[in-house]
Amino acid sequence: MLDKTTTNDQFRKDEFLQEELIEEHLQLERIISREKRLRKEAEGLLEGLRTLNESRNSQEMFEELLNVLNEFIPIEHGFIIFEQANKQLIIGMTTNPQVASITWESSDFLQRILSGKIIAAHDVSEIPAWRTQLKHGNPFKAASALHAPLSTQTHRAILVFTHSSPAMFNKKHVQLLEKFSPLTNQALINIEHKQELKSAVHMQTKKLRTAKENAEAANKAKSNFLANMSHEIRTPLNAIINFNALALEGNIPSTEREYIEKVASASKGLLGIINETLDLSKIEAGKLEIESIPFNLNEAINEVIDLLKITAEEKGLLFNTELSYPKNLIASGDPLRLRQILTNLIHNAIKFTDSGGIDFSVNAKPTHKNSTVISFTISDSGIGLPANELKNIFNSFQQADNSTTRKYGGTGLGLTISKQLLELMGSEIEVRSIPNVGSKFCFTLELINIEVDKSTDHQAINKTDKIEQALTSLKPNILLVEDNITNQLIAKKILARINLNTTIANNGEEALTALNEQKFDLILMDLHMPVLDGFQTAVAIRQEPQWAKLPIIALTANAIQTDIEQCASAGMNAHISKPIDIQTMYKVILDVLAPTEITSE
Amino acid sequence: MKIATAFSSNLNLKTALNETSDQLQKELGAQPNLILIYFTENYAANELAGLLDKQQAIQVHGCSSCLGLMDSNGFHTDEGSAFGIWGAHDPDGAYGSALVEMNNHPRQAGAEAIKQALTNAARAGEIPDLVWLSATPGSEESVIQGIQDVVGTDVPIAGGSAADNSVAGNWSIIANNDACTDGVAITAMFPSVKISYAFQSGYSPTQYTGVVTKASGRTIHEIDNKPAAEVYDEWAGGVINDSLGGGNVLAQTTFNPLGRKAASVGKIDHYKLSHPDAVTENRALSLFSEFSDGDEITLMSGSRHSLISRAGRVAKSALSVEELDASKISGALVVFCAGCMLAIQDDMEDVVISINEALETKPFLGGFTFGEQGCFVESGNTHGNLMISMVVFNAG
Repeated sequence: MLDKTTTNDQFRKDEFLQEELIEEHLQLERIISREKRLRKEAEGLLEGLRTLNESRNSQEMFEELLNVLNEFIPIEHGFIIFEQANKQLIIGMTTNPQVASITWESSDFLQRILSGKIIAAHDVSEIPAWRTQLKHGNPFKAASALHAPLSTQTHRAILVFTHSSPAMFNKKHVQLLEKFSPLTNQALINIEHKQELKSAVHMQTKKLRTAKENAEAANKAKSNFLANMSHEIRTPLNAIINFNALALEGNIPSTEREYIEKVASASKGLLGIINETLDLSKIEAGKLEIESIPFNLNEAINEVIDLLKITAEEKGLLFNTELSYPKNLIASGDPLRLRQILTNLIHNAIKFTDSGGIDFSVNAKPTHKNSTVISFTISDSGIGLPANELKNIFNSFQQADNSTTRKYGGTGLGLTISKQLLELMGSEIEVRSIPNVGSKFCFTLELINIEVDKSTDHQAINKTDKIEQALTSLKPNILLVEDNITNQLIAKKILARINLNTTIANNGEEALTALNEQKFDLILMDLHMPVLDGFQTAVAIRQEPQWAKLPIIALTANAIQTDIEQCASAGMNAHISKPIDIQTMYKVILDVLAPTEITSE
Repeated sequence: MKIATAFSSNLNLKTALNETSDQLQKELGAQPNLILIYFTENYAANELAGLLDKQQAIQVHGCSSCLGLMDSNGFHTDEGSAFGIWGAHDPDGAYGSALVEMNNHPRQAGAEAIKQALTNAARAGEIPDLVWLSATPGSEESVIQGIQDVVGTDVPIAGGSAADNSVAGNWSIIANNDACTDGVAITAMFPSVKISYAFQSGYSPTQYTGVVTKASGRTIHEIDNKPAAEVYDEWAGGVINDSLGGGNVLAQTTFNPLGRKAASVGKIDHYKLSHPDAVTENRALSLFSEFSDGDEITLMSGSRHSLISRAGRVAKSALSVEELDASKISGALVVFCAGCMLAIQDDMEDVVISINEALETKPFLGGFTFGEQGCFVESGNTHGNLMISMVVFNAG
């Protein structure tokens, strides 16, 4: 039997154990309850993160975030007061449009929040900062509010939740906001980031637009410069080249003839430089179009050989050719540009070769698609190039190194233009070179076969004498509209050379008068003239029905593509560039007056 | 935040005040922002309020305590006399105290007192972290309602009702330079640190339950349609049998208060307790808290041992609610039911030891009150009897 003391001790132990158990149980229940609360909050945070990721714009993001928080905090309205650089406080985002952009005076209350304190207010009307706002009514519809600090890289701000009933926010909400604030902050940073991005995109767009406008202006300036340069150089060149040509037709002593020939050669070189520059400009502007017309391949090749063989031989170089293709092949292509490429490459080979010679080979390989693949190879025994400099030789205005330009001259545009022309034709140029051994340039062209000319002794379709004869027999009455006396003289002499009469008008107005006084078969029209320029005159002529079909050929130092296009739009039929190439001028005139005379040949 | 306490047994109020103030300042190493005072009825509240330095920007809140007080140094009662102060140095926090006389309108007094306290804290309109309440006994439920009318039901309210040594109405409260014997003293607290609180009793429910079928104010006339005192006496095994004709039963009922379920944590119920103090006319039972018809009541059971150990458990519970570490707190405030203290007076040093063990001997001040107010973590603010209310302040 237990004595009373033992019983009491046992009772106390039991009582103690019972209390301990209850206490442990209580702790466990609290932990479970806390875990549930934390899980709910974590779910809220995850939902908030999802909202941040999915919202399309800042206002939507803000409203979605409030929806998430509304699970935990009784929010009727929310807004964010941003602190501006000048410390002014202004509402920048809100669910209540009535309070948008309202400014707040700085106060101890707002500064405490900006410094990091989350404050719940049971009655906003008791708080001086709010009282000022509520002086003239309560657009906020707020009796109680919860305020939390936010901060981004650039702004401090206050997030405010309001409720129309008093004492709706408490310590629990403050603690919740402590957890949710980083989320809200992130939202704000995202919003700011988006605004920054928007602003950056706007700035970038503006920059790009400015850059585009500048580029367009620069391009226009470049075009104007090219046009002016071309015009200003072509005008005196016209005189130099053509007076030289006319002089060489006369009977002059051999020494003087040699001098004049050198002047002629130098001025043609200068013209070549101008033409190359204009060509490159056209290619870069995407305005150079490759023609696809029937031409005799053998003739095109031989024209180049005829021209450059002499140059090579004059330099003491051998000029070997190996031509292996059907000599009567008529193919579709751009003979002018093919000649230009071959001339550039062969001329280049001659230029950089001091001894030895040039090998030019052309080989043909028919395909089963009614076309022929023509391989062109130009080899020389010239200075050659090291491998590391090869990559530069096709760049504009760049030769292997600057010393090359100084020694050998030239614009360095020939290879660039050739490469780009070939690319436009769907081909590529290959180059191999060994310093002091020589260089080899190769390319292929696939030309569509038109027909094989049966005639073995075909006549050149534009042979000089035929054209001249045809023109002489046509004997057109020509009106030359030109203000420059020298140019008047040159044109008149060139036409007189084949017995053609020319009437001169010094400007457009005189031209219109002349047209009314007599009948003309052709007008050669300069463009830049006082009183009435060439374009205006052409337009005026085309407006008169009786002159609607009167051939007008522009005769101008304006040789760039836009000028040619402008001439066509003003109603002119063709275009002859200054300096005038005599044979080209005859051919263009005949082409305009009697195209059948040429094609029938 | 730094907390310190000081105690004096000097019967001269001025000397006691000076001694404790000097000691407090020394302990804190700085001027406190807030002082809470527990004093026994022999110290005149009016005189105390008058002695407080009007020039100092210190908020002061005082409340009379039954027979003595306790702090981390022990239970202090020198022939029913003690004077203790608790001070907090928290320059980043905000505190405001106010006193409003009851004038038969306890609800309005509560509302007015909290508004004034918030204004004195320079935090008008804001929600405080805690409301520390000392009301004179009788209408604490209404006072709590009044406070909640202003700041809402979710602001924790803790504290205890003013007490005297013999339930003779010699209680008093003070706030700053005001004092009264029928009113509400409130301190609105905005500490710069985290706080945590608990409100519990040292009693367990028994199998005896019933429904209040007739009640008025703080008197239960009938339980299950029978005279309340008779039912209670039967449940409690005849502890008030000798007093069924009428009279004070405070001492006999201390271990058997009546409980009402106040909150549940999982399957554990928390009870708010009511201490029967007298049998009145028609064998009705007078208590220290209000009842209504329909209230479900349970006879609770306690023991000396459970009351001794409970204080430490409440301290541990307070720490656990906010997961505070006892080694990192700055101090605590404790309200311990005067009835419980009277029942285990000889063992009060053990109560202090149990609190010290839980709080690692951090400074605390405890008063013995005639009614306790606290916040059940799960169900809000309540006025009860035979309860322990505790608030713990983190260090920073």
